[in-house]
Amino acid sequence: MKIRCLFFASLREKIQTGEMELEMEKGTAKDAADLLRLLHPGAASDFDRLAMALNERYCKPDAELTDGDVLAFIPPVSGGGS
Amino acid sequence: MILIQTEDFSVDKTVQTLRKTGAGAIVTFTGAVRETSYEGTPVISVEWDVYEPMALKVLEAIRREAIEKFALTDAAITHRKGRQAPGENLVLIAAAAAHRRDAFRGCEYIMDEIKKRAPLWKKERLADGKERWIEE
Repeated sequence: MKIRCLFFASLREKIQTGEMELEMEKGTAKDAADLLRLLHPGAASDFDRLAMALNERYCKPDAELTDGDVLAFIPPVSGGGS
Repeated sequence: MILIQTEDFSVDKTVQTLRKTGAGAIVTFTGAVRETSYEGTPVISVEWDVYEPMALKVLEAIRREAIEKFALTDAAITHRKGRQAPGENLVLIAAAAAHRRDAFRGCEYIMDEIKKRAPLWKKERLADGKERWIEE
């Protein structure tokens, strides 16, 4: 299956892209993150502190992925003012 | 009303959208860019990265929660994107309720939840040449 991965803020800059397509066998959000750790060893530790969102909703690491899903990697957020 | 926009907002216009019979109290919070970082270095500007489709959904969910929890008659959230200089507006929360206590609490709840959940990231450009993402 193919899933679309989205990256933001410091992670986007570190891996130098905002999005990529990932081809993988059946798996979970954590499996996708583990694969990305291998593809981007320089950002491996970043993935430990990230939340994930599946199709625009926060998800748990064990969320099952299906073909065409959008998986976003969410660094700690910083919206708003003081 | 939920808006994520590059341009500045008008507090007065937003308050007008919340004026209804029954709204005896309308509380607003405006967040703006500070002129120094937490360490005291002058800030040149802040710039946003936004996961906009999800941010709109999260902001609407927070708005609905606040309306339900604090018996608000209505609430509005406007968040800027793009780049802003010190002193410029960043975010506007407006909460309307029959009585002031609920309006204050609803406004604070919305701001607190945005800081925890909304997928928006702020990057500070500092006068010493450094740039950094604020990831709290």
